Amino acid sequence: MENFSYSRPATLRDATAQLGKEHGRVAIIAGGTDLLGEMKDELAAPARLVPVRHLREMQGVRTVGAGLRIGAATPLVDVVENRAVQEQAPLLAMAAVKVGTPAIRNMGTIGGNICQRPRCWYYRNNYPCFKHGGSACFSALGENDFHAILEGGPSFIVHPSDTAPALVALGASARIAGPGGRERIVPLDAFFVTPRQDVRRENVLQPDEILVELQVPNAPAGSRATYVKEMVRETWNFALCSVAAMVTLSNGVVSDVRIVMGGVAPVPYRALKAEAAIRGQRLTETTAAAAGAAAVEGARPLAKNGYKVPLTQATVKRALLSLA
Amino acid sequence: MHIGRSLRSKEAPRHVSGRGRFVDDLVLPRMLHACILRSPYAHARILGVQGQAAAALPGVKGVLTPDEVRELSKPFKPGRYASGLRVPIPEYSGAVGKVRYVGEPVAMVAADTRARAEDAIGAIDVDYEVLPASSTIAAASEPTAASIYEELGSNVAWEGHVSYGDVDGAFKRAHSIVRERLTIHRYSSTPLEPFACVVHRTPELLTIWCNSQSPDVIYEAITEALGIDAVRVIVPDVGGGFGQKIHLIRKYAVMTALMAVKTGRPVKWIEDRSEHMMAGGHSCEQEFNVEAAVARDGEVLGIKIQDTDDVGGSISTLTIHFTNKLNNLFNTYKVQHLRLEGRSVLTNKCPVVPNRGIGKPGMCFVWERIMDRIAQELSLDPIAVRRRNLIEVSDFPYTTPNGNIYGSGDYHALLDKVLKNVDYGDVRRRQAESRQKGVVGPLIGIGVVIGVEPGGRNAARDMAIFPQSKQMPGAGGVEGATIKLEKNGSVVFTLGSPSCGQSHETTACQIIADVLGAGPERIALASTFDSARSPWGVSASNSGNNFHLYDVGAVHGAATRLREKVIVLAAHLLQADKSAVQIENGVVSAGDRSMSFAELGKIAYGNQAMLPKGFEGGLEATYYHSHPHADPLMLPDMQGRVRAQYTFSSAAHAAVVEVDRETGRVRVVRYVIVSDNGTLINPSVVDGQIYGSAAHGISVALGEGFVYGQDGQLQTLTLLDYGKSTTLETPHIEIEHFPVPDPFTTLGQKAAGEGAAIPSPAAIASAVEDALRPFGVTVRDLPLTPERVWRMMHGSERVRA
Amino acid sequence: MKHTVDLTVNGEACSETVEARTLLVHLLRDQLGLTGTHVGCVVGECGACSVLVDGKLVKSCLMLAVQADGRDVTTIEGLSGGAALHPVQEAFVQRFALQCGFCTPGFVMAAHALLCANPDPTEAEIRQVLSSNLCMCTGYVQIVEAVKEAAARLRSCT
Repeated sequence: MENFSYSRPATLRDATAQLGKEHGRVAIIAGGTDLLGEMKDELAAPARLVPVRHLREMQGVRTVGAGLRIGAATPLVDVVENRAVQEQAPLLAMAAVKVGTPAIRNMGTIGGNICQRPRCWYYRNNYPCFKHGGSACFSALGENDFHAILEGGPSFIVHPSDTAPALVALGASARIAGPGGRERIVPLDAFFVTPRQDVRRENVLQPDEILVELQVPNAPAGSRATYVKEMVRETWNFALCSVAAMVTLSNGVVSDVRIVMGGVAPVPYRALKAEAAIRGQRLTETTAAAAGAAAVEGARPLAKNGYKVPLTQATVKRALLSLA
Repeated sequence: MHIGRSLRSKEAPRHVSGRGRFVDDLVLPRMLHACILRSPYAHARILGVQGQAAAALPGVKGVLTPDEVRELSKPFKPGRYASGLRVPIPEYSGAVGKVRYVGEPVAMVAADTRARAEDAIGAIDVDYEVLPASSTIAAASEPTAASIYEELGSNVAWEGHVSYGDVDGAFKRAHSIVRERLTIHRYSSTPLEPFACVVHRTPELLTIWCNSQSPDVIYEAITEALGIDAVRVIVPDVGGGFGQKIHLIRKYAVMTALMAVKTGRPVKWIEDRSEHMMAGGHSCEQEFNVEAAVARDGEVLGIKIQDTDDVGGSISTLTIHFTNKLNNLFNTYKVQHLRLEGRSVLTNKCPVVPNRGIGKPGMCFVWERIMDRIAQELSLDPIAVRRRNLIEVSDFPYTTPNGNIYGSGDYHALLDKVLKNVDYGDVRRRQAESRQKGVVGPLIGIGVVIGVEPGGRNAARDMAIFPQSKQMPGAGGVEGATIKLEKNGSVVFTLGSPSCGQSHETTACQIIADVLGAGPERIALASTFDSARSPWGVSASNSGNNFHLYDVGAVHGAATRLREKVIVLAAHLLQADKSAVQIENGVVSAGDRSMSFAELGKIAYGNQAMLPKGFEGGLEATYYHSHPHADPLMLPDMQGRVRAQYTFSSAAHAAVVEVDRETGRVRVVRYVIVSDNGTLINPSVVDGQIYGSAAHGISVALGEGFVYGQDGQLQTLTLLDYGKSTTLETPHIEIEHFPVPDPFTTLGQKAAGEGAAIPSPAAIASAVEDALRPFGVTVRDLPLTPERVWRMMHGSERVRA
Repeated sequence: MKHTVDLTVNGEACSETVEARTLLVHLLRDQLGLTGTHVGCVVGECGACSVLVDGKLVKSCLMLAVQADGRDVTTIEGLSGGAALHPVQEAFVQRFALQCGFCTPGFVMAAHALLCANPDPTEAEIRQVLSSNLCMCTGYVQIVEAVKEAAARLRSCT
């Protein structure tokens, strides 16, 4: 790992002042679980690290109005164990507890979880791919078992976050601080970018910006939610596919629904067709299966990831049935 | 008696307190830290390596290039696993001339800190001519494939066979021929501590601390490669071995030693995880074509097996996976006619090394899969087919057609017990019920397999396939132990074999306690392996499932010898007849007179006047154990029959699985083992060996493994990508011991170190295939990842579309 | 540029000078000589480097030493006060919950962290928490038994 400079900013404003205009030169470190791995593998070599975990506005969970404000540097374990999260946005707690292993959740933060870089092994093994400024996606013709079946191309990475699908399903927004005290609020469904929009990045954060907090509206009254994650193994892995599902039933019929999938597309993928298929229906084996089929409509598997299509279908079905 | 009890572990207290001493814990004055530049290419010619820029960086004290490796050292001699080579090929510690796999060591840097050494690696300039790489057996075997060793021409580096009995005759008599194609994938036991070396060189002595399982390999490598006469090898605590730390580690020991010679300073080199994954050694991919000639009732009349091994990018372990199949060539079966053909194919992948049972899991997989296939094709019960072919209790001691002598066993009893323990009938009932229900709930499957676990290596085994070899690789085995009764009455000992976690100290302690009559709390290992004080042996090695045979024999022999000496001295001092002297818990007595070991010690080392006439002072004994029943067939006969190993544990495994029909995920619901490891010295230690080896075999069957791209790049560089199992994938494993003592070993003991890794992949395969019976599919390939299982259920076409 | 890190390790205050890139595990091992914390992968996967930071289980290879400034670190060496083993350590010995010992300090720390938070865990909870750590030797069976045993011992002494 190359050396770098490190100084602790006193305030958020000091932190943004350290960032500069060039991606990769300065990196923000909170838990560091993803960033340090990247630096050790020489995927990232920032000249400066800006620690943010101590910054007051980036820490902890607060209830504000009809929603939650979660500091981006809040450790995942605190999100999982937070009573307000469990009551007001249980879907988020269910997703956060699926991240990594317990020690990783003690260290990793929610902001880091949604901003983590892809797990594609060509990217991680430092192939000169799009993500590294190159001009190819090596997975397209290579070992693409774990790559995108939806929204892929020109890069076929998948978004690895567990909390991102839940946050998108909950309609959360990101509060982003820029230099000079400038701020903007970006709804999470506009926070993530596809490779067609920006092949090198996975979100809209500019080099001089910091994700400060997540603003999470309370889950609709009477709604039920679940987060189902399918992995190669039982734990620790990133999702082959995951489904964050939230439904509201009125007289046994789905009146409102959100279905957002992880691990299948370069962004958390909102399965609008699946939502349409199940809205107005009772949750039965048949309707859930139909929603599962709709969820993968338009899927274009690569040579080796075809399995993800039926797996995603089954996972959507199961997630919905578990809410019946 | 302490033998047979789970004596409190001698090793555990230091490890639970963080007081274990591993190589990386060692710090020497002025020690440098080394780092290795490795090949980024799977196949390339090295046109030039420029180290000057790196050498000029701050803190850098030495750069070792391929040219210097060639100038300063001699190549390794071909070992017994390369003696089938058509032409001799020199192999140096670092890459010289060419790189043949990603991660092959090319150059080394030493600096005053590890970080500076890492920084300097990037400044070494290597000029490569990239060559086409072959990453599969098929690609490497193409006539147009680039030669990985030009000296050999073809990448098919070795072909040979062994044949016993009248195979053609058996096939003529057969009612039917059952054919199968099977594969085993690349995996590793991934010891948690990667390779590590510290070398300190003075004009008088080169000392190396190295976490090798085989200090004799390190000793020979350094003395031969560097031409240094005085070499001391010290093996401190070792963080897991499993066979990984026998072969390739010598390359790094020599490179580190060269760096210490070059810089004149102590040098530490610690491998990192990704280096270990790409270049630390893998078990080999094996492809089998099997044909069994069977009678109508399931009797196997004869069997033909073609075994193609992908041995990676080195000739040094060319036939290691083939010759290890001689160890369990007939498994538990009395089949008399067998032909095994082997091909070793070089590829641009990591070289292959021993790996918890090496070759034997493949051989067991062949037998147990073909037994299931025979049952299916003849519509017989799979357990009945096995029973039809088992060696019977009355057959022991039993000589297999290739010369292995099985001392004892009761294979039917193992099956009886495992069926009972797993509630076989109940599982079948639940399975039938769930199948009747149709498409709801998981698919239930059960697999029952049986296997032998060979132990105690005969070094002459490999000669069975290299009759033309001029170089005798050794024969049989020798291992030493030394025991000393200290002046204060405590007892210390040394062993020829380093421990990698198999509780050598605890086990040896129990034997010494019983034989010598000392209290186990006053017995301790004097030091971990140190060639300056530990005895050597032909197999001074933690490998080959050797400990139970050679080290136990050596410890027992040394303790017996020391006891005799104690009795002679005690009889003299107590004025009693030798036969009247008793020893218990460190006290010698005859009638109502007694003395403590401490009193004896004081006299033995300090009071010549009180010693009997002609008594050699001191109370120390060394014993080198060789298997007293190593013959017949220690050397191969004209028919190629040889004792591959000397003891044969056995076990029946039953796996119950549930397969998710929508996701293909396999969950192991129960895993039951009934195991015959002969006389148990410490049952909890043996349990630990069985649990660990079973868990590894199950993990191998269900997902762990290496993935290479077509370009020869390893994709699975981390334990996560590799798929190592955690507590959540590893099932609870149930063990019943059913020991049948071996008639030929010191205490009736048999091996336990590799055991459950041998049949477990077959047990999982059998259970998953059974669960998938409604789909009529056959399990031929591992690992059984959810995806593969899903594809088997649904056919591959649908998802490929 | 060098940084000064002030932290408490096993109850003792220390002040160490490190590079920004120095990992906490290397500070512990190389500068403080606490070699019971092991490096098995250095990328946060194996858990051999597990320590407690402010009472929480973390992987010390995934944390910069500068990030530990002002924090309270407990390593395996700090688990038992004196010569006697901590009940978790004793249970690991009794139950043969280790073989090579390389992963053991990490498992003991993980088990300790678990039992501090949950004195009476189910087997499923034990397996869940221990999934942060890898052992290549034992197949985990005796480790899980040891944690159950440790839980029983700790409950009986409170």
